[in-house]
Amino acid sequence: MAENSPVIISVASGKGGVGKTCITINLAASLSEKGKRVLVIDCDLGLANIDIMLGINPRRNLKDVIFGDVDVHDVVIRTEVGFDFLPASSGVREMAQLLHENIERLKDIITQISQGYDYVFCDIGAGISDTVLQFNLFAARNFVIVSKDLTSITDAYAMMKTIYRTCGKTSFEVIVNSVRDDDEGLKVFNHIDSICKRFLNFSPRHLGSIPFDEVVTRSLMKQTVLVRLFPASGAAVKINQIATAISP
Amino acid sequence: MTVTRKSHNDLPRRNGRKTVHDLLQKIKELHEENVKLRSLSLIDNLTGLGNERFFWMQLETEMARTKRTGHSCTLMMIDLDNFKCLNDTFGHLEGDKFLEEFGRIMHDNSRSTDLPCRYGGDEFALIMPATSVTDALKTGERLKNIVADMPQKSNPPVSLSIGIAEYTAFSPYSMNEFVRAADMAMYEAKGGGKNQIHIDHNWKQITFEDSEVNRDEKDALFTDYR
Repeated sequence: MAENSPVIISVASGKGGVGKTCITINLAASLSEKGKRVLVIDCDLGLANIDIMLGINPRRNLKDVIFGDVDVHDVVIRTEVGFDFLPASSGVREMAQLLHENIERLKDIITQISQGYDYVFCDIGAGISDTVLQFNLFAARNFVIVSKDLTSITDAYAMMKTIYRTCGKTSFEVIVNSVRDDDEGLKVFNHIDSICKRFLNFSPRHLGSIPFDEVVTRSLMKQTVLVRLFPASGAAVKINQIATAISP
Repeated sequence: MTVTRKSHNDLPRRNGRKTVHDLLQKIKELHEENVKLRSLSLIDNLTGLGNERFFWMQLETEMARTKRTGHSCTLMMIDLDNFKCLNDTFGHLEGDKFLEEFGRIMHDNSRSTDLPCRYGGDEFALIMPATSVTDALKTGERLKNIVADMPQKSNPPVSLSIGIAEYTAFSPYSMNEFVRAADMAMYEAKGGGKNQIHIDHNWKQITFEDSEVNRDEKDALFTDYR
C-alpha cells in the first residue's frame, strides 16, 4: 500500500491530435523511473489507443469490468516501461456514450484500483462530452495539453471554461507541446493565461513546454516511450523536467 | 427562546375569580406557546424521522463537511406516487398508517450514518454523508423494491419516485440549489412514468451562454495571438 493517498490526474486537451496520450505515457514512464508507483488508465473509452502506443494487445479491458463481472485487478497490465496500465476498448459505442450510472461505477472502480499507487493518470478523450467533464471533476489535478495552433488553444480554453463554469474548478496545469523552443512555449502559455485571467478571473499553472522532436515519431513507431528510447533527446529531457515539477 | 410551562394556578383572577374572557385569552396564549414548542422540535410526530427543520440543519452541516473532507454527500428526494389516491379512497387514517410504515422502512433500510427525514406531506429525504451516487442508487433501488412488493389496498398502488443528487467538494451548488437538483431529478422520475430513480446531471445545469466561447473571447483569442 502507498503511504500517501494516490494523486489522480486527468490529462485532457479539448482538441484531438496534440500529443496528449504520448505525453501521458512518457510522464508516467519518467515518474516510474523516479521510483513512483504509477498507473495509467485509458479513459478515452470508445477510442482507446494507449495499448497500440505500447505495443500491447490486452485480452480484457475496462469494458469487461463495467459490463461484465471481471475484477479490475485482473485487467491491469504491468508494462515493460515501469508503470501499470489499465486498458479500455476501441470501437465500442456503449463505452463512448457511458450512462451516468456507468460513469459513477467507473469512478468507483478507479478509486478502488488507485490504492497502492502514487500517481494515477486518466488519459481522457478529446471533446467536452459528459464523460470528459466527469473525469475532470473527479481528478485532483487537471492537465491540459495544447499545441501552438489556434484551434488547439481555443478548444483547450473552451474546455477549461466549461469545467470552470460547471464546478468552479481552476486547478488547471498547462503543458504546451510541439514548440520551437521555450520562448515559444511561454508565449503560447501567456496567451492562454491572459485570456483565462481576463474572462474567467483565474490563472492556470504552466507545467512546461515540450519541443517538437522528430524522435517522437520514431519512438511511436517502435511502440515504446521516448524517455526510455531516446533519453537524451530534447523532448525527453523536457518531459523528465515536467515529471520533476509534478513530483518535486 | 424560553418557553415557560403554565399551570392552572397561574391563571389570572379578578377579585379572586376567573372570568371567561381571561380563560379564553389564556387558552389562546397556551395554544400559541404549543405551536412554538412544536416548531422547535426536530422530530416528525407521525414517522419519528427527522422533520424539515432537522433536514435543513443537517444538510448544512454535511455540505460543510464535504467541503472540508472532500467526501461527497448524496441527497435522495423521495415522493410517494399515487399517495393522494390512497388518501382519497381509504381516508386519512389509512394514509397516515402508510406514512408511518414507510417511515419505518426508511429507518430500517438506511445506514447508521444516513439521515432519513420527512420533508413534508408525502415527500421524504435521505441525506447520505460520504456516499457516492453508485451506493445511493443501491439504497434507492432497495427502498423502491420494498414498496413495490408491499401488499397494498389502493389501486394504482403507492410507489416511489426518487431523485438523487451528489454534492462534491467542487460542486457549485448552494444548499437550495442542491435540494432543487435532487428535486428536479425526482420530478424527472415522476414524469418518466413513476416508480423509478433519476440522477441529477449537474453539468447540464449550465447554460449555453455559460460555456460557449463568445465573440469577445474569440476576438481576444485570435487577434492578440501573433
